[in-house]
Amino acid sequence: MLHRRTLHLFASFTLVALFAVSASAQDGGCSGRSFDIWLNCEVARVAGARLNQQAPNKQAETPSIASNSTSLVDQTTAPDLLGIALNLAGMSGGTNNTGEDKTTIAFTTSAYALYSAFLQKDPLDPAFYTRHPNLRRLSFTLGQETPEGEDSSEEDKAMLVGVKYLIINRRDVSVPSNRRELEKLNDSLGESTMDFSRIAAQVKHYLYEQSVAAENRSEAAERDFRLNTLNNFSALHGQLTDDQLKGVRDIISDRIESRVVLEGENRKIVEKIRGAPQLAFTFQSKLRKEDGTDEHRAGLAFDYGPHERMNVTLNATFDYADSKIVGGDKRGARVAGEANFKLNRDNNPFGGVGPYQLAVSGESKWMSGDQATHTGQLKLTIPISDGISLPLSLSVANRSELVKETTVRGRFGFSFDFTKLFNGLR
Amino acid sequence: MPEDEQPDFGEAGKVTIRVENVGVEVDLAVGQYLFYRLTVQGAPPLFAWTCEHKRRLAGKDFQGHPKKVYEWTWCRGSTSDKDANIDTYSVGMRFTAATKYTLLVELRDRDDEPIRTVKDLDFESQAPQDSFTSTLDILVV
Repeated sequence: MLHRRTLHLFASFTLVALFAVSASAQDGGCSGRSFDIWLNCEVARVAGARLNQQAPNKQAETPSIASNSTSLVDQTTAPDLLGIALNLAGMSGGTNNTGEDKTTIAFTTSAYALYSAFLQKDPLDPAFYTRHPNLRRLSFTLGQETPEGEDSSEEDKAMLVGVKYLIINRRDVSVPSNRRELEKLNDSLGESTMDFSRIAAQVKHYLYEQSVAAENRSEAAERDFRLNTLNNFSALHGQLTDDQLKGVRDIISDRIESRVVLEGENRKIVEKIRGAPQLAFTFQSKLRKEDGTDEHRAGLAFDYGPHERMNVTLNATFDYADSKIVGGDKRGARVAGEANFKLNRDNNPFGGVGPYQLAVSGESKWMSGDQATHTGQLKLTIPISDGISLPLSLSVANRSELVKETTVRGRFGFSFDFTKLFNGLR
Repeated sequence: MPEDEQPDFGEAGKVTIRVENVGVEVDLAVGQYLFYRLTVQGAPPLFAWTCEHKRRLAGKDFQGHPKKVYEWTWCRGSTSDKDANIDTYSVGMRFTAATKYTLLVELRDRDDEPIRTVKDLDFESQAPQDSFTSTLDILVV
């Protein structure tokens, strides 16, 4: 025991002495919280650099039928567990009060979430998750739209009800075709992990050699270094010199190829799954009290990702306004499309989790007895934290449903994806 | 971005450390062995366990895969798992579909009683391109 303690003290002393030569050295930002966190970061950087040399779409927002929705189109998929969307009263220009300043809150959940709650099963258990992809095809929305302002009446309040069923479901990672794609990564993951073991062993040995003069090295001293000294890695990390970091990166570079292959394969598979075509049947209703007009919308939503950072959504629906006044019913068709662009990768440079997204969308409606309405929209979705985002939208229409002149409207709200939030809290 | 807001790994990875040791000594002569438990959340996990010399296990090797809990041992009742007296073992975990892994490694005696916890950590990420590899030096006494 005394011998071990002496070795430990000796190693610590020589470490401080040797690494203190260049205490000002910077490693470029990899955290030294633990040896593994630091080495994973260094390996990812070398692999990322090598990879570069070589070479959104779950709707938590309110449905499009809501007057104040920040979304002109409905996407095909809903959150797996629970999504909450809050759209606040709009900021309108071009007209006076049109009576359309409304606050909307909507809850969306899937049959899968309800089933897991009923059985009291963990919805994030991989076995349970994999067994029931079909339950994630069906989702429900329930919400309320409340008008703002003194002129609003009880009949302007509306209840939102919606149901969505995925006819083609190719983006769920647990469907057999996607699982087969994921299993293809097993070989390259095994190879890459084995190379990581070798890199870690060599780096530990290298750091040991850097810390102990040649004449004092022994197997016992190296064991002690691995068992004790490296457990306090943050102290050592702060004193690594630029030359020592270069030595570490050279070791990594020699064995990085398997990791580069793995990252490339993973990226292709993720891109393929995320961009796979999806087709959903959607039905939404906006139900008003007393003499208010009920609105119903039924149709298809289609999603396709032609590029890693782009998703295209198309809607074609039949719209029906059921008036309590005899002869006041309206029927018509609606088409809408949206191109959504991720402005950055999943991390973003300004904090928050997830990419900033810019969407350009358009909608045309032809209702009986009305002139055609055409609306264009620009939307920026800002990720606030894991599972929480802030959509901001600006829309321009040739006419609103009530006023026959051009309207410009700004809208904003919050959307919460509880699948991500729930995961983060556990 | 301030350091405390940076992910611990990849694009969005977070590591929660309860117990972490870079290495562990195992006295095979008295029947000590290592017990691994990997608990997973989310969709099907992708992970591999290797040493410096060979691949040892992957998620697909387990009966009932995909599942929530994967358990295995090193040198339980035999020394045949050992390739060298000092060897680095790694668990490589990908977040392509799974969103959280909890890794527990215990040093146990011949009666299967835990002697001490060697590793107890959570790794989580919502970014499908993220991965983390947790290493452990196994030093045979």
